[in-house]
Amino acid sequence: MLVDSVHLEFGQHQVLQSAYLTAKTGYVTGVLGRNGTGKSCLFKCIMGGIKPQNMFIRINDERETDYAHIGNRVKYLPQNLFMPSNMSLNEAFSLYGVDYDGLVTFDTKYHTYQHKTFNELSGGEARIVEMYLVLMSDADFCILDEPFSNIAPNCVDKMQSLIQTQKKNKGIIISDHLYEDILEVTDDLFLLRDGYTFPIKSRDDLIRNGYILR
Amino acid sequence: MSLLVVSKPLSVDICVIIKLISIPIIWYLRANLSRGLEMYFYLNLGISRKEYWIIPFAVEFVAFTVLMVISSIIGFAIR
Repeated sequence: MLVDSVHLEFGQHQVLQSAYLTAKTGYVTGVLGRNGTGKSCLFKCIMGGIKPQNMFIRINDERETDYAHIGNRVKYLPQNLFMPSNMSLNEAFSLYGVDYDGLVTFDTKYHTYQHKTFNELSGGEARIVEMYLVLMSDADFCILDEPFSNIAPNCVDKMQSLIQTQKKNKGIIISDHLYEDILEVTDDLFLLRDGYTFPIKSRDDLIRNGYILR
Repeated sequence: MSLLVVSKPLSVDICVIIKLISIPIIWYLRANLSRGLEMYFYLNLGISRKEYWIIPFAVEFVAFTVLMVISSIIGFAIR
């Protein structure tokens, strides 16, 4: 997937200027950036939730990409909880075409949660379910926006293993402020700064671009 | 609804009842389809942003139209 020339502004405030991102099956692409640099906005532009002033997107060198229904090919995990609060886990898994038994295998705690609704779960539990659902859905690409927030460390390790497993079947784009967790799982890394994306090859590049101090 | 009331003044109560019945439908649809990040739940299912916003209004319009037609048929049958 190639995303290029993303230009987004809200009134006088320019969020993204010619932002660029690529993702490939079998690779995990990391996106880092300080608060307010437009990472979530970039992802929402890709998913169609926000209409940018300009954007070019192409999947697999196709002549035309059905951008309006991109959800058929790209799944997105937003930064905050997004499942309808009154929907049961069973119903959500059915709609997304994911086997619930897989979640129970992932964490046996969810064995009795099948008929619970999302508003009956804790924030962390709901986050894990959402992330599992998005990762296991049938899609060419997955975008995970700060997936490790509010997650216990042992679950972060499990999620990282799941990402490594799923990347064989799809391209994964991931962003988080816990950059060391991101560095562990990513194959390619971009830094979003001042509306532009910069490729990052090493920790020194992060220091040079002012993302970390040392 | 206005035309109906003009042509048949006694149908005001029917129009009000029909509108009252449609309120829970509109409320349910908007409560479930227009909250913050929930839009992405539906975008992930392949629904476009335009379809996401139009669906509640379309359903409301169709449901209200059906109710109005049924009530008109009932009105004529009563006459």
